[in-house]
Amino acid sequence: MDQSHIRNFCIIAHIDHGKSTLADRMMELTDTVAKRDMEAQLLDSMDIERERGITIKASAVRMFYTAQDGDQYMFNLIDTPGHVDFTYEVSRALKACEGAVLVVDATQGIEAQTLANVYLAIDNDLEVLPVINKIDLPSAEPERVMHEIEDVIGLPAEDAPRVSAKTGLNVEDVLAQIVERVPAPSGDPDGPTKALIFDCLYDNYKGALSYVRVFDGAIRPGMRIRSMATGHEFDVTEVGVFTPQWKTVDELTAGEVGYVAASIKSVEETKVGDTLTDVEHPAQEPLPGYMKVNPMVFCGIYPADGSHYGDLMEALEKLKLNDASLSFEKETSAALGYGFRCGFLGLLHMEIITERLEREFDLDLVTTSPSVVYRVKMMTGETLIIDNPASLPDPSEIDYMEEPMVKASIMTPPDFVGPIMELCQNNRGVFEHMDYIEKDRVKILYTLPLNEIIYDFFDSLKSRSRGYASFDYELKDYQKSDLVRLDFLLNGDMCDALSTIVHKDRAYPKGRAVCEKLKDVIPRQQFEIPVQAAIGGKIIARETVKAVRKDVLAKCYGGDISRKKKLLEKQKEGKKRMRQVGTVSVPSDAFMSVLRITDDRRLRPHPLLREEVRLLRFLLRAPRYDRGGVSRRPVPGDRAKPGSAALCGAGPFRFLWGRHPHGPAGERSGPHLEYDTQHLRGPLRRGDHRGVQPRHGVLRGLREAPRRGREPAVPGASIRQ
Amino acid sequence: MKLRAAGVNRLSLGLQSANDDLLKAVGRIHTYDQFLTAYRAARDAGFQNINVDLMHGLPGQTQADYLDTLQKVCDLGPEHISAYALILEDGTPLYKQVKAGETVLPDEDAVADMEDAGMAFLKQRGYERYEVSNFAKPGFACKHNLIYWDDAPYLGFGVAAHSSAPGEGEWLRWSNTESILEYLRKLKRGRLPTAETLHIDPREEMFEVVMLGLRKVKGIPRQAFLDRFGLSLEKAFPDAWLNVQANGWWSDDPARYALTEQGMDHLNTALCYFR
Repeated sequence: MDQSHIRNFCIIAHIDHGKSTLADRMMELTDTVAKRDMEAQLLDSMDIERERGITIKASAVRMFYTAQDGDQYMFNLIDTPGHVDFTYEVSRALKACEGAVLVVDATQGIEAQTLANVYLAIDNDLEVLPVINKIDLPSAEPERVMHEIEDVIGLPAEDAPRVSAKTGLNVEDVLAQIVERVPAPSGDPDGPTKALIFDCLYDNYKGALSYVRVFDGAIRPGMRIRSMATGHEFDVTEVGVFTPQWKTVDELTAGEVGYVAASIKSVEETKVGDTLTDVEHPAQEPLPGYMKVNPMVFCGIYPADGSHYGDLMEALEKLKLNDASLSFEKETSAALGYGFRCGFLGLLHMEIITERLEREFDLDLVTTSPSVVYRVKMMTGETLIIDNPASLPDPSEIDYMEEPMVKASIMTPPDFVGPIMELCQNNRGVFEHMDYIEKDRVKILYTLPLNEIIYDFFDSLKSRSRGYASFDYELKDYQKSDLVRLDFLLNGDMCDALSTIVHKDRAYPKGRAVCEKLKDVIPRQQFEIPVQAAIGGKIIARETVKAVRKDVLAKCYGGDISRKKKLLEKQKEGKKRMRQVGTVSVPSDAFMSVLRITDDRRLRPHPLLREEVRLLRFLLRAPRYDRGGVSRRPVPGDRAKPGSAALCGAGPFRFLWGRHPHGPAGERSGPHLEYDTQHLRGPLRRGDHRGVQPRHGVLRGLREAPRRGREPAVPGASIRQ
Repeated sequence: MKLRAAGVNRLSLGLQSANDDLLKAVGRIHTYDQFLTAYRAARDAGFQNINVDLMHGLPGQTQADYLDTLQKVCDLGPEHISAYALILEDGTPLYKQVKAGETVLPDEDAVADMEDAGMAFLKQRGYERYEVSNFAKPGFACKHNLIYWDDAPYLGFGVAAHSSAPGEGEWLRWSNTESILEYLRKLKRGRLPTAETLHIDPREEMFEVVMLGLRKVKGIPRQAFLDRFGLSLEKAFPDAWLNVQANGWWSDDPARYALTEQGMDHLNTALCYFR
């Protein structure tokens, strides 16, 4: 197609601001996908992506749009991963576009993550088109958000389409603006071929595929191509596009986006960011920006049942086919046996991989506490790179250690600045800068050690800000730090899988917290078990797991022999799944306890949340009522007459059918609570609801409000009925 | 009276607790007074061998509660007392209440304390423990239940009755249908109303003998095991034998495979060694 009629763009949005929904509507409007075939949110094809509402792997969809002037345009929508761990992948996907649609939730405003990606897009000279989404929600404030976009990012947003991706309202305007404002590609169709790989995928039938954006020249089957960074050469067997199904085409020409299948064995041979060129007429220079991505977070992954080691290896190899950023090597642990030391781009990446291993490969896993990569300067002058606490040399041989630091930027409503700064300070953060970007939005910059944020920083941040703060980080440098290895002993035996490297000042509280946690998760055994934390042989904390006193079935007669045998079988099975550390049997999840040390404050539901649950339950059981002559059951979201019982959608809350904006993944239908963000900022106290302009009635049942100083719960908790 | 006259010589009454509030909490439909009436009626009818079922670890029960019940029951002087720790069975209303946090059970240690105190009390009152949860005055151990714990053959007749007997090269356990209509229909057609038959191979049978036999304070007579299976327990389960030994749970009596009191407290753990 003529380049002037091609538009390559991506969508930038914060998690849950509606990127995928908008993409779906675009595909519908361009007849790419018939409405009836629409499986909600087509772009996210992995289960986990769907459930978490995030995109893990980028993909691209080709659409044809007939503009008002009657001309047909080819749209290539390139999907970008939406998480901090995948910044490099995002930057490559952006590189493949000329424009970016910036989606901002009209009820939420701009988040740190969005901001980071917008800057990335601007750095890559992309035309950014702001779009204000979710204007159908009663709590939407498009005006405010428009000003926010103008003030914070500095983009004119007066003409920004105000859409509802959910209902399809005004989505047409977005398409029209893409034609008008996104520049057409301007490569040289006859020059030497240059194609940027912005993603890789492994397909069981086609082998390793590269998603490319052709800048100059063309790629067609039969061509011999070279990957310019790795030097590998391949024969192109097929080129095609996603519509979003596979569709082969004759060639991909300058300006187009699609996939290339060649005799590529693994995704490692073609790396994201690399440039493909024609071997016969090679380009002089690759496209700029190629980088090798290094894992930042490591952890040990072991099969819960040692005999599944082979299965685990096979599963990791399969995942690796699709994910070049995953690294793993064999490792053995005294407590856990044979397993793998795996490297990840970040914590989320780690969670996704472990979850996929468990879900897609049906494996039970034990993961050890994550570690970052430390630099250890030895007395001998040598530098060691340590990603496993177990391999840390004896302290007497170490001159000093260095740890990776990150630059963290946090955006939050001003009410939470205090608690958030306290959190950063507690995590050894160094304050850098604070900016009031608007009267109710603050950007805080901190330098933090990566090792502090890989544990529970994100969760704590969410809980301290009631879910409103957003967070982004980038790796800064290595700094000298006073680090020690914290070991844990069970009945006197050291458990290598629990060892972790921490800052000296954090060792004592951490040791105590982990011991307390272990005391709870290690089941009582026949003998008393001392649980100790130690630094280099010095015990710094101790707890005791009391001995079990009775472990016997009280009753067993003729009729229930088989049943009692099954119970024993179950008990035996439970024991088998436990790991033996010296004399102590430890359940698999105990090894995660080092990781999951966090304020229990976040576990305590906010009293209002409980109230919501109560009201929702009440509503769902409410009798039918007469509405416009029709007898019907009240549903969440119904307006009701003042004073009546169904008035639960009121004040800061509303009940809706559909997905909860902060809810855990997977919930797509059923009643949910929606928060009116305006009114839920800052601790709510008795009587607060009085100032709230009722949108759907009055808030009833608000009997007990939390007092100041009490930590609220994350509004992520969903209500399932 | 009729039962006694028909030849029934032992009666078992399920009291569980002498505290009416506790009875209510676990959904029992009787009171302590009603039990007393029944107990006296049984004695009047001439029953010389009566068992009373008791429980500890009930929701809200304290050690004082439990000892009070034991005191009252011992004062009545039944020949046999079964004292069970509450088992929270999956699917029961109580199970649901506990899972939902509506009902709180005494913790592990409190239950163990009750059990220990109860056993000491019963011993002092002349009830001898002969099985995990069963106590009797000398000579009044339940002959019926001992058959189960010896894994000896028994035949059950009637709807839903269980039987257990040796077959050819295997042990058989079968049960009758639970439907009275099917029971009638089958018998009228001259067929056995068997619902399910389990074929237990000698290895399983050995395990069952261990599982049931070790419940008894006196355990399994060495000779009996040898006669039944042609090899000793040490040979049949060498690893388990050593594991139990390492815990110091075998009693000293060389003529029997029996557990010490501590071993009986950990019977499940011990049995897991045999699987």
